[in-house]
Amino acid sequence: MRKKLPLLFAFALIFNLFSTVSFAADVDKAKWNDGKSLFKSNCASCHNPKVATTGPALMGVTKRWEDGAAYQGKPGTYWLHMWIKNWSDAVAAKNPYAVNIQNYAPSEMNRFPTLKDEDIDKILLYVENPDAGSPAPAAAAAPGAGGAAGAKPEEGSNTTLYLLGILMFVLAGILVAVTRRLDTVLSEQKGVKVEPGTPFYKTRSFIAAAILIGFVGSIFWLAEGGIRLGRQKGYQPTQPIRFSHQLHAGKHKIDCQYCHIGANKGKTSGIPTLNTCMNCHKAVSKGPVYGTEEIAKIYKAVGWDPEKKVYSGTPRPVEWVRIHNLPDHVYFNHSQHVVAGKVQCQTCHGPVETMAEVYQYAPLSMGWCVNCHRQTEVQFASNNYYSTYEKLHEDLKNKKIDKVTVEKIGGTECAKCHY
Amino acid sequence: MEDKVYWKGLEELEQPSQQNDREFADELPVLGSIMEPITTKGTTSRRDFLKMLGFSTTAAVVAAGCEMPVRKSIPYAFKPEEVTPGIANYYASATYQGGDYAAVLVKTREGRPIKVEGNSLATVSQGGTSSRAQASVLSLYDGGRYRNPMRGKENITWETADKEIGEKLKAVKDAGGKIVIYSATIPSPSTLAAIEEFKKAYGADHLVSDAVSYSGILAANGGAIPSYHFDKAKVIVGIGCDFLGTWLSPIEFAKDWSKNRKLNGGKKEMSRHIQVESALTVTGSAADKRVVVKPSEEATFAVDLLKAIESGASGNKRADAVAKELTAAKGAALVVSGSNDPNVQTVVNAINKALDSYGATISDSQTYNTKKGSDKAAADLVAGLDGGTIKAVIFYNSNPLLTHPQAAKLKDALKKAAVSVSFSEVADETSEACAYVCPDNHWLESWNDVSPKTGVYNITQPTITKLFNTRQAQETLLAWSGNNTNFYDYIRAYWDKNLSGKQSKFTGFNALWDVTVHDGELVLDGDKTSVGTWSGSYTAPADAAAAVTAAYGNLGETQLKVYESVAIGDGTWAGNPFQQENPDPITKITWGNVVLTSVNFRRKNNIKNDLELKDYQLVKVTANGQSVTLPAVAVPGVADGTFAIAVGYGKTVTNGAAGNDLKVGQNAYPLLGMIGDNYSFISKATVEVLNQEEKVAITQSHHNIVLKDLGGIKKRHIVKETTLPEYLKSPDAGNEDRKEILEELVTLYYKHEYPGHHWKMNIDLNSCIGCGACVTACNIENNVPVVGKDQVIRSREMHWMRIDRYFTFTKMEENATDPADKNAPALPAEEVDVVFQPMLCQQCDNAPCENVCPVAATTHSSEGLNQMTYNRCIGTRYCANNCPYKVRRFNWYDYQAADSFDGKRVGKMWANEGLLSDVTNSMHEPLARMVLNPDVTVRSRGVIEKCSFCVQRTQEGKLAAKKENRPLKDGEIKSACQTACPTDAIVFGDGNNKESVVAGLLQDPRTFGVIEEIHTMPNVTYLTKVRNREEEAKAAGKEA
Repeated sequence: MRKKLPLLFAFALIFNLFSTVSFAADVDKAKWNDGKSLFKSNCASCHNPKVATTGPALMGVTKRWEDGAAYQGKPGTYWLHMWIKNWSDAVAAKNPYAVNIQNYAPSEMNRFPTLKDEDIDKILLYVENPDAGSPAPAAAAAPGAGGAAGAKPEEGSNTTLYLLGILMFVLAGILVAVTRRLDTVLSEQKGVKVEPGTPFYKTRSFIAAAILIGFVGSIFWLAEGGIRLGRQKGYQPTQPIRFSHQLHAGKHKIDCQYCHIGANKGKTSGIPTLNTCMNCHKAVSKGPVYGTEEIAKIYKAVGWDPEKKVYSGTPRPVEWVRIHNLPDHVYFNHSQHVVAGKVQCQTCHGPVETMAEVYQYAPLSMGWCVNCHRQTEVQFASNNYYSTYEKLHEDLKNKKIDKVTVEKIGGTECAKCHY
Repeated sequence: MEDKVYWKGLEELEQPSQQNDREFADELPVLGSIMEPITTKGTTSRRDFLKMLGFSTTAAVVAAGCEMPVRKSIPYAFKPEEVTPGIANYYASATYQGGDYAAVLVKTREGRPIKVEGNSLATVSQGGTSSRAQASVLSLYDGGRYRNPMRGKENITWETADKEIGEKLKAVKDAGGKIVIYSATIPSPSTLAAIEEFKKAYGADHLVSDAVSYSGILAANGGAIPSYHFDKAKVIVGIGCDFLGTWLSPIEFAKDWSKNRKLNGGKKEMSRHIQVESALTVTGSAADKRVVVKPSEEATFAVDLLKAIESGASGNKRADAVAKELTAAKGAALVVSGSNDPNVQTVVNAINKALDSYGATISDSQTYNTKKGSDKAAADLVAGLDGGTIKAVIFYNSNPLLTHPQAAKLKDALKKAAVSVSFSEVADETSEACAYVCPDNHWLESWNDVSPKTGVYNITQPTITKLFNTRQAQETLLAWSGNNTNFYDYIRAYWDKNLSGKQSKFTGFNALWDVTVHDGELVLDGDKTSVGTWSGSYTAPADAAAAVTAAYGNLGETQLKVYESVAIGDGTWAGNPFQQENPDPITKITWGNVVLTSVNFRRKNNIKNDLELKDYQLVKVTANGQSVTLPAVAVPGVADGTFAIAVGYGKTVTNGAAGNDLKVGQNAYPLLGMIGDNYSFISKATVEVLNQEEKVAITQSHHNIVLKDLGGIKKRHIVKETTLPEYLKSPDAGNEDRKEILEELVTLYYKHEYPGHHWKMNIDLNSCIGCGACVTACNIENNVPVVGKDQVIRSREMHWMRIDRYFTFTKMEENATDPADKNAPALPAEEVDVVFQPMLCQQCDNAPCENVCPVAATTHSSEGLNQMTYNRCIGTRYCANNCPYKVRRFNWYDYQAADSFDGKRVGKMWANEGLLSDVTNSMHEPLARMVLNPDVTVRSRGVIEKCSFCVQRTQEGKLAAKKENRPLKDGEIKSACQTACPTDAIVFGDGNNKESVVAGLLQDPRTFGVIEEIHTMPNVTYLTKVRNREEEAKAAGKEA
């Protein structure tokens, strides 16, 4: 491990270097950042600076209004601000430019009366210079690679131990052989004639020991194999669409339950249906890694025509490869853990927000479940449901017990999961 | 407390020592019998054994060596707004099938209907269901359903069907031939409107005839059957009328009847129920007093009763006694009769009139729309087709080639029709004989409306897109009438036009519609009007009485009674495996019908039956020129000279993988006779005992609670009962020993702690009527497999819940003579009492099964559950052997195809050798598996399973409370059996919650646990059965 440290350090240094955002000289960094976040929270669901989505592509909008929208002696920017705050005011004032664009398909624009003029300026600053804050393209892939590698749980160095063991064993064997040889040589020097004895592998005790070890070993191997049957920790299949949780949950910080809507409702967290994807991807047709390639797969599946912006094809669900499989005789309920238990998604699913490609983080074995149930405290004080557990409340009060774990309320009993 | 003897079957009574020794219903099978179907003899060779061994080892190695398969996870492309994977949706709907109405909530998971529950907002079925309604969800996934419209055996398109049939109908119309729609009762106003359109377009007729006919009572009541209110009656007399099981509106009646039968919360009064009947029914079993008569006397008894009420004495002592009680309860009495003879019904109406029942226990302002069939219509169809006047016929919701008494004649006559069409969903006798089949949707795929009673309107809404290329019958009729509206719009338009204006609760039709679709029901009080009653609409009571005496006075010593069975109904449910395997409440027979005979008939003729091998001697019953040959099963409580056969069996046409397994029993419809224009379910008959035997899948002796080591049947009380006078003297009557028992119990074991919940169930034996709705509900909720006739014969039915039916004597001391003695006095049918006891895992707090499991696969939970962990079970069956209640079931085969590689069953190896029945295999089809509950594991071969106290429901309920940050409410979690029960006999809840209903019931002096003295500490308790026997007590007092 020690050797690895400088390497990691160097890596981190390079990463930091590249990820330092370089700004164009003429853009105010703070304002631009504010503008970006304002744009993301207010405008991005319909607008993209460069691409026409629900709304038109906005880059150059300031100039367009300055050139064309001056009216009643007021400059174009005045009317642009008015339009953004409440577009119908501009239309009502009969500004011909506004009247002309009010019917831009397909839907009417939201109103933002609370936006201040300086906020609008910041947004416009961002819109006109969308790439000003982007890191250099070469570094874009770095966090992905680095993150995924770092997130993988460390495998124990058992292999080394095994190798060492075997080495020792071989050494011991060689030593025994050498000693014997030396004994023989010594005896021969003394003139004692040594009869070649039975080789060790033909001795009764060795055969018996070998059979015993072989038998126990194979039983152990079978049992191990049996226990592992159906377990697939680390399973990382290739999915039909290269969806990156690292991008969506990590970079864009989309809440897990925005897509996995079942997690707080029922048994399954649910794989988002395509209409959920389209909430954003109607607007976002190009991704940072694969460009339009992967998103086009969504469009194809859902039957969306990105040119005409209409649903025209036959929708076909995406056949995702299932990673987390529990046997049929296990009942697991997401909402039990997420809502009642207030367990973080990452506790079982690992650092999903760093996974470009999802893999199974936890073994999902019964021992793993039971261990957690033994250690985890239930929301005993805060959830009124538990008010009927009078005896446990009393025990807590009398300090007979210091916490109420899931086990204490029967969480390790068979029929909590098997029925 | 008298030492009563309770016995499950006659065999047990006659050979008590043998039967009570039998802890296991059959010998533990060695390999030989595992491998062979019970019908053939054979042994397994060493070679076969090695083959099996080799196969299983190889299979294990292959499984171990394989890589994990790649599994796909496929979300919706566009998620429907109301569907969240893993969360059930409930839709209010209503079903009317085979004459059985229920307003229900349909539970769907990911768009698949998987269960129906009662709709508690409904005013007629009041949240109750029947086993038939419960099982109907499986019919949706029936592999035998038609998948396309058909011309003969050939699939055609709807366009072709519309074109060809339309042309033919037009040709018939132009040639002046009659077109007829032949259907069972249609209680849907919109459907009737659609039929009116068709009638107008083609000048067609609509003939309505029900398989199990109510035309007699309709005729006597001016064409509309009034409402009966069993909840308002203090004295109820049923004459040959199984109103709790099958008659008219059984769910409603069971609900109403049970309201006055409960003695919870210190109630001191209950209704008095007298049943006059020839064969034993669930209603008779529940009665306080049974008057056992011959079938013909079910008619004449009514005449005597009328005479006795009018003049005080009729010459019939038993009728006089009943009349006395009725008269004493004038204004709160109710007499109902199951007869299909208008004269009998007129007499019964006269009795009710004399008792001032109208306006009190009978209201004619609300009448039933569910029974409107006329037997004359059935006769008209045959005559019309035969005579050539009817040239075209459309069969809708009816299968007359099975259910019509003149089916053979009808089949020939049908060939003369220019065009015949069936709307049947599944292949049946009639649809096979029709030129065209235009398959209807299943009710779970359809929009419809149902009006069970005047002023009550339910909506049926689709809960799944139609599975096959079918079309709703109403739309088919509308299309042929040139109206291309879809039926949803049609119903809306009908409601807007006809119902919207009659109410003032909602402003605007959309509000009315949305709320009705959500709640499932609309009640229009303004619709209730007075309709004609018996007076004036039929013959005068005196004439009717004379006619009855003349018709039934001389039917001879041997008489046939044809009845409707609780599980199969009129035959609609014969294609439903769950219903076929649901044991008949009285006979405990599955998969087929038999001839019920009296015990004395069996003793006299020395009829053989071998309960162990389930061989029953055949008898040939001939009536009205037709005969059937069926096994004879003697049932205590059946009148001497009575031979009862259930209709609905004997299908000759089935489709789908279940195939021949559903063709069980014999068709009893041809045995029906005629009384005037109406079918008679009672006939003169001759009976011939044949020297042949047949196997009957009877579950009576399976899973006995063995009493040998418990001090014998006289010492231990599995069921406890008492009478009302005794109960009023001391509320713990019949249960006096409990206090003592509980005091005596000591243990060396530590006691379990229940820090949170402690689940408990209480079952009221007083209101349990043994109908079996809970059994079917449990089967569907918990993915309990159907095993088929052969496996049931081997006592391998998998039901987690069974209803033990015990017989006992009304007066023990008089019948204490050795019953095995051939010269013993005849077993008096009237002296037999029946007790039903639903038996399920008792979730013992000190469970004998838990201690003996070598792998800890069955353990105790901190909520009092006795948990069964299938994945840990290695199938030693020690637990089943050690369970005193015999509620654990072993998977002898892979009944559910759980052990499958890529959908190919390992068990196919067995199936190919005919070891798994076709019907079990049919349940493995992907279509049938859609009914499975995804929250419950599908068990594989070689593991034990049992009632889990619906742990999936308790877990779900607890989670809901946790998520809403509140304590669990009592009544929030209901077990599947509890929701299905039409009499609310089952209560489930948290015993740790002192406010809960179930905790209250635990303090009731009537509460007892079954064989508690062995210190199992069961969490299922029962309430003592109390029979209202004040009259008998008074009579006994007088004698003494």
